[in-house]
Amino acid sequence: MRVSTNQLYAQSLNRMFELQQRTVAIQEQVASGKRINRPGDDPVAAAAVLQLEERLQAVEQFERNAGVAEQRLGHVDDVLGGVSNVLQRTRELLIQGRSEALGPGDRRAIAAEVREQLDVLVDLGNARSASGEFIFAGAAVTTRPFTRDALGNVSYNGDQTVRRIQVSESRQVEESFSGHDALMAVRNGNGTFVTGMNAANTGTAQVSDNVVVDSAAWVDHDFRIRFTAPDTYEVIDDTAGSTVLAAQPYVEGTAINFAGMAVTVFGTPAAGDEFTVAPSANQSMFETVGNIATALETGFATPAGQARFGFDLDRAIEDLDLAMEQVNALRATTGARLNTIEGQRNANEDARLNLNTLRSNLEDVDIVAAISDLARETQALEAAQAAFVRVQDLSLFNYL
Amino acid sequence: MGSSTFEIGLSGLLASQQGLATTGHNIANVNTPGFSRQRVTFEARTPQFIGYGFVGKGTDVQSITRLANDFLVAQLRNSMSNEARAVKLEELVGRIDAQLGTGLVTSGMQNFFDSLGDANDDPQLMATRQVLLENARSMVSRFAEQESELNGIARSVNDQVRGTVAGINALTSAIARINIDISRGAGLASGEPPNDLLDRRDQLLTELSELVGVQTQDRGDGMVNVLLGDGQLVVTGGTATTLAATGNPLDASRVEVAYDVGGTLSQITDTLNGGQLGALLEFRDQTLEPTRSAIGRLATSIAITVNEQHRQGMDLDGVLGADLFSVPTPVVNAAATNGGTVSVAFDTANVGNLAASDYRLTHDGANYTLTRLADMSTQTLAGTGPFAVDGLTISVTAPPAAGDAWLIQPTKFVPRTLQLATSDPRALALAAPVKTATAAANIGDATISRASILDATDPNLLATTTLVFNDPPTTYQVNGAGPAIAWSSGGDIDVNGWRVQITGTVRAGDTFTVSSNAGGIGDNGNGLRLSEMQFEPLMEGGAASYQEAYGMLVGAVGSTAQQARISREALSALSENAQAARDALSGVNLDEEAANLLRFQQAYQAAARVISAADEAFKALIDATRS
Repeated sequence: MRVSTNQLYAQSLNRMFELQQRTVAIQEQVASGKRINRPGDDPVAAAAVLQLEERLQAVEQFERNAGVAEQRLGHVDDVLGGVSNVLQRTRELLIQGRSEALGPGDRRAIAAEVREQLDVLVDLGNARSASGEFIFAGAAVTTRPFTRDALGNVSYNGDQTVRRIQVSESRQVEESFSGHDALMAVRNGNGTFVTGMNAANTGTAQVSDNVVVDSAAWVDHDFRIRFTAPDTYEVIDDTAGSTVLAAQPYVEGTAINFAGMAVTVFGTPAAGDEFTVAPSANQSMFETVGNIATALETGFATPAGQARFGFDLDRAIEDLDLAMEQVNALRATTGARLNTIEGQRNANEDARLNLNTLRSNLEDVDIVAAISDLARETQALEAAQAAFVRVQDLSLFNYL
Repeated sequence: MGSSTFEIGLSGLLASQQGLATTGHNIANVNTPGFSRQRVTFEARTPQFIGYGFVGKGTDVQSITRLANDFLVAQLRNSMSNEARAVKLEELVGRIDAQLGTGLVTSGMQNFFDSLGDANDDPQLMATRQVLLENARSMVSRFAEQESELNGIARSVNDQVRGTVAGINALTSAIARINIDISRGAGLASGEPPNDLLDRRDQLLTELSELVGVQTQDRGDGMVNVLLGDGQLVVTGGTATTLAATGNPLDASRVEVAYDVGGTLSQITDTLNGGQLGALLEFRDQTLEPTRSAIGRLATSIAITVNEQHRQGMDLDGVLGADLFSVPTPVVNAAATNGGTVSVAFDTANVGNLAASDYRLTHDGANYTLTRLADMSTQTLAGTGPFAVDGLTISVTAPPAAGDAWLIQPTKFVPRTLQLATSDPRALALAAPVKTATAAANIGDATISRASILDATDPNLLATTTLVFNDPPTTYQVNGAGPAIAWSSGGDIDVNGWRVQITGTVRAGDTFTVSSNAGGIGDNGNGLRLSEMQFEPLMEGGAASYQEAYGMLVGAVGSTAQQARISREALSALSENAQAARDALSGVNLDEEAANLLRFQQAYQAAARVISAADEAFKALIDATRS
């Protein structure tokens, strides 16, 4: 086939252009370290890389969030530890103050220490985070959650919203507890029912050892144990307006059973003395601790007063134990959340590695291969240039 | 005898001279584009019969022909046209490809959602809110920058269309002139081809076909007609019809190509294909405009869906969230001759159905026809509307007349004017609008869930509402009045535009409260919902998240770019082959010409020798007769 002179030029040039293009492309890959420098280099992988990058960034955000949540829950746990100490110390003081060997002055001294513990409890309830927000105020983070009125009653001013932190695409963790849930809404009595002593009682009897013996039979009614005579009592269901047990003989220390509950009366009741049994309700830890201080301050002067004193402190131990239980449960929840976060952080870290590997596989260039390609292409380019010069040298006109 | 030898020698001398001249012509034109090498054909003269036989009378130049093959030329022209189209397309698509590869929009979106995550950790802090607001603003401006880049490409396409049309006009009139030259050429009648004129016309036709796809018709009178893709004549013998670049009557920003007959323009854009112009138009319709619509759609979808969610939240001042973004309404361009008017709005509830396309709406006197320009699918809209189509609501505001036409550009221009609706970080509605509470005096252990918002526009949404349980606690009353409503643990309770669940055991008299969350400045209830939207399938009719929709666009443009490159490589190779085939026949080879030079030089010298031999013979005769 004939070859025109221009073809010789054109072909060599085209070949050199092509090689130069390839060299530049490989050079770009080596310089950027990336196989995909624009979507057109590999559209499918480029779109996939975009998704991976979004996930990676999101995982990093979740990591940051998890760090924040971890720090905040850690702080909550510390504060709850403080609450636990207060309750523990109060319980010790209560046991101490209950001793019959103590005089009124001694009890008042102990009561003063209980009051101090109450102050500590209020301070703990008003704990602030590093950035100054109240951690138990719910979402009303700038509102002081616990304040005391003139009578010393503590009220809760926050709300019941607990902020959640996003620690993975599908998982949110609550970063605290509302003051209502943590310190205010504590069940009183034994958690199911609570006993009371009529203020007008004149006997020396008190009620204690309150247990649920048959939870299936339990009903949430208000009951009254009424002594019609020092040795006879009846049990009235005030909610239903009926008498549950009529004219029972009273034997001190023998449990009185009704509606799945057992309570025991000790001491000598007077005719007309009454004890109430009602479903447990909420009672704040502040009230529980405050009740102890008040009981110790009040003390007793009469045998009937002593019975009331004993009853109040028995009640207080029930309340305190439930408060302790609640704090322990909250700390267990905190621990579980921290575990969750820990697990999630590990999962996030795995996801991050995984996503990075996937992205790298899709996007990153194999440098060794790229450099050897580059060497091959430059060699070919040099050969093409040499060949061009040689061929262009050949002309019949050289010999004319 | 002597005179005939002279004649013969002279004829050889002249023929060789012609040969040398033609070789010189070939050498001189070695670099002339489209030049076909020429060859002189010689012919022995008619011999003279003399008794003993025919006596040769030397040679004549029969003709000078070019070595060209119409088929090869047409093939080359065709492949050059395809290559020119592919090269232009690769260049244009590559610009968008590189644009989208910069991650301008996607990092803007990511930053927005990242700072939303930070704001959710500390919604009460002004600093995090300020950062969120800045990132929202930055996201919006990145969309605007992206659109501005794309608009720059659109303007450059318009300029190139104008330039190409001017180039086409110059070439067609040159072809018409050369047609005349060829037809008037002296040699044509005697069958002698005007080689160089033919080459030049072939070259002009090749240049023309690089600009736009054309076909030629041989008229038989030496002239050719040139037709555009769909058979429009642009060169009729010696007359060229001009094309004009003109603005689209419905969209002045779009340059169209029209056929200009005596000043009357008829638009032929849609019929053009091939060459650079074909590439420009194809790129504009199939890559550029859809990309702009898709970027606009992404901005619109984010803005509207975020607005919708934002309105379900409460800001730092206890006020229900307003729009975070102010979204411009869809652009509607009406034809000047329209009788009726329509208005188009985004259908916020169905914004996930938005398509990345413009629409053409026409009325035929009875019904509307809506054409989605991205895929040219049409639907008939009967009645007076309003019509809900693809996340848009089309309302008729004045009765239409037959022939009315509108161009609807719902999303394309949104990034230009999309703005933040607020600059106050306090106005970010990150909190849930209502909070729930369990009364401290409750005996039962039931808890109330957070409220989810069913209807943020309910006038009583923020009213303090109590749910009080009756005796027996199987029913409850709202605000202690009204009918007793049956309750089951965990069942939905829908009141005043919100929904809660109460789970556990309740006792008679237990009370739950739902009230305005004003003051709940540390709440991130709505912020978390906004955050979750990042991965929710809120686009493509519920099939893709924001980022996935963007990924689809990048994938589509990337594929187009890849295809354009592959096709350009293939067509360049084909065009090289066609060039090689044509050059193998028509191209000048200098070695060959050098050999021809020697050949004709020697023939010339030999012919000269014949003359000198005849001269010597004649001299010998003269000398003989003299003595």
